[in-house]
Amino acid sequence: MKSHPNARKAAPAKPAPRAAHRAAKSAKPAKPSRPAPVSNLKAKKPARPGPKRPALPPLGLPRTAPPAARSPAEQTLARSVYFTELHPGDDLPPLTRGPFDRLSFARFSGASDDYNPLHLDDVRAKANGFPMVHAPPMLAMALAGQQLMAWLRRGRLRRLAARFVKLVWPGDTLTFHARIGELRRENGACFADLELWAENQKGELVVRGAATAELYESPDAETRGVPGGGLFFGSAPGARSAKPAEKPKPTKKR
Amino acid sequence: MVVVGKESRPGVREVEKGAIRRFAEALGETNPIYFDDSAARAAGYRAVVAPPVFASTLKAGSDLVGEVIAGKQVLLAEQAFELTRPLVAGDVVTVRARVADVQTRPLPVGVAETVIIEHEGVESGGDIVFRGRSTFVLRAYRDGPTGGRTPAGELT
Repeated sequence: MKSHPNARKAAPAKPAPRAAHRAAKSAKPAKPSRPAPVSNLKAKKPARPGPKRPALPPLGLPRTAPPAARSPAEQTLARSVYFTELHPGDDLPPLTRGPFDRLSFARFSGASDDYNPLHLDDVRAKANGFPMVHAPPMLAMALAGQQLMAWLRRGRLRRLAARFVKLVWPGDTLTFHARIGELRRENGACFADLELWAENQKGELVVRGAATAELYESPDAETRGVPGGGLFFGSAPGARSAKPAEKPKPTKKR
Repeated sequence: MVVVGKESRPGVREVEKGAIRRFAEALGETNPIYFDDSAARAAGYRAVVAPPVFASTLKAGSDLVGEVIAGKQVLLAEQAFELTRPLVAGDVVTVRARVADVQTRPLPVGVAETVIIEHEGVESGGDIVFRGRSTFVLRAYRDGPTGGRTPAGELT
């Protein structure tokens, strides 16, 4: 019995707050106006003459720590990319996500409010000739958007198109690639056309697509505001550019 | 029967902060512009911003897509978005869908129907905020439209 770990710990710890309480009460009579402490927490800080006591050890209650930062704001505070610094053929930093599981499929299906049983129900997927469920295609497209947004920072994504070439299965890991195809100016706005593609862990092409981003011409243009190479997205829809020719990068794997 | 040109009723949809957060979390996002108003404002947005593909979660008034794909197995083959501006929390968008094209073609696995549905989101001023174009490949379910399940999900 003596060896019971809880009994050993609890026994010496208990009397301490009581003693402090009693001590606080006996020290009180000089100040009757002060209301009696209602909890141990308050009894721990009796008003005493003399030097201030150092902070008492916590009562075992969880300290209210400040909420953990979700992540450093590196993506928004970091320097943006600018039109004049880009070159056709430049690669964007790739993004790797996965391995995906059925839970990631379900989570994305829920978040996008789209419930296709082929992505969620193994029984039905098998009954219809699939070995198992496969990923919602929009998951891969959304991750391609994530890659572009992380790179663009203060620029804007204006167009995103994807062709779903191969199904994505539980356990797959996808790597998203993007390359600058063409840089063009229209109506004072600066655009970068990008080619996108994603490969699975076997190097097979899973998604390919295209995107158009609108960028600030230079850091100077960003601080000056719209005229002379700022973003143009406040303009009337009629002023928007015609859809650029979609020419995804031809890849050896098909 | 799917008819080219068939339009949905308009649906008035609000871009909700919680929906943006769930969508971003499902993607493993860590960028605070999707979670935190002040970070989004520091990045030049009015409020928490929606990821670019978030527009696909805003549905039209009548479920035209659901009607078209009802009882069939669906594979999304292609998807495209055009965004006039980024969607931010609090935006109210009127979304319409329209069947743009229907084709039937034989595949090795049987007859497949290709349906193209276009979406359009318009804000209160009448400006287009986004347009979407989805290409679906539809086939009959081998195990029947409900997969042998009752509406409650039980196997019969």
